[in-house]
Amino acid sequence: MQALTVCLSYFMESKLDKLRKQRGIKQEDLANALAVSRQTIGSLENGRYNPSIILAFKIARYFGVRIEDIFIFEEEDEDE
Amino acid sequence: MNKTKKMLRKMALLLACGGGLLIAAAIVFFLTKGRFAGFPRPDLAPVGFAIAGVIYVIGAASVYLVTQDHSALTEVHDERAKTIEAKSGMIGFGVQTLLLFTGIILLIFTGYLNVVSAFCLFAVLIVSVLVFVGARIYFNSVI
Repeated sequence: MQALTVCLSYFMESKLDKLRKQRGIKQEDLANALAVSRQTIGSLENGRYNPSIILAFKIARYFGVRIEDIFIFEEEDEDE
Repeated sequence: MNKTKKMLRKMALLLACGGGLLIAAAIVFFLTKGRFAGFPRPDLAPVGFAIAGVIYVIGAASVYLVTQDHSALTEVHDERAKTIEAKSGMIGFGVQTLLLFTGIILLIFTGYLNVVSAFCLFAVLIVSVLVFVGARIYFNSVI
């Protein structure tokens, strides 16, 4: 009997960079507003760091949009 | 952020008190020439206590200064910084424990360590591992 293993990997994309530049907000100003460091904003924008649910909500609320409009999460299924 | 500030100030106070006690002990040992303590090196004991006390006080001052600096306080609270600190701390702790254990065993069996030093270092090792285990149990129950 063949064992079916579903291996889930995910892909996360951030539109934070685009949204921030559209509104003319500097990284530092956004960081101060969210009480995080500027490096965290940089890492969020280039996809090196994924935010916690609380930070994701704070960001969405700051821009007045939904979380899904900023962070795109996709799962890739692989059957083995 | 206020909770963090209060916690850091308490930590600074604790360190300052510890440092103060060590410096006071250094002064007492210096004035009494270590007569009552029975140290193998009564000439060096006040120096050791004074150095440890000064380091504690400097630590207390650094921790207190963090509470006065908004950007430093933000760093303490920053979730990415906390993740980095936690991961680095785990690696550092693992390396430190392994090297300390190896170093102690080698020093004992090559004859460089006496009974007092060996037990002192083993106590440091065992206490740090117990604190790690205790913290894991605690965070396992609250998170």
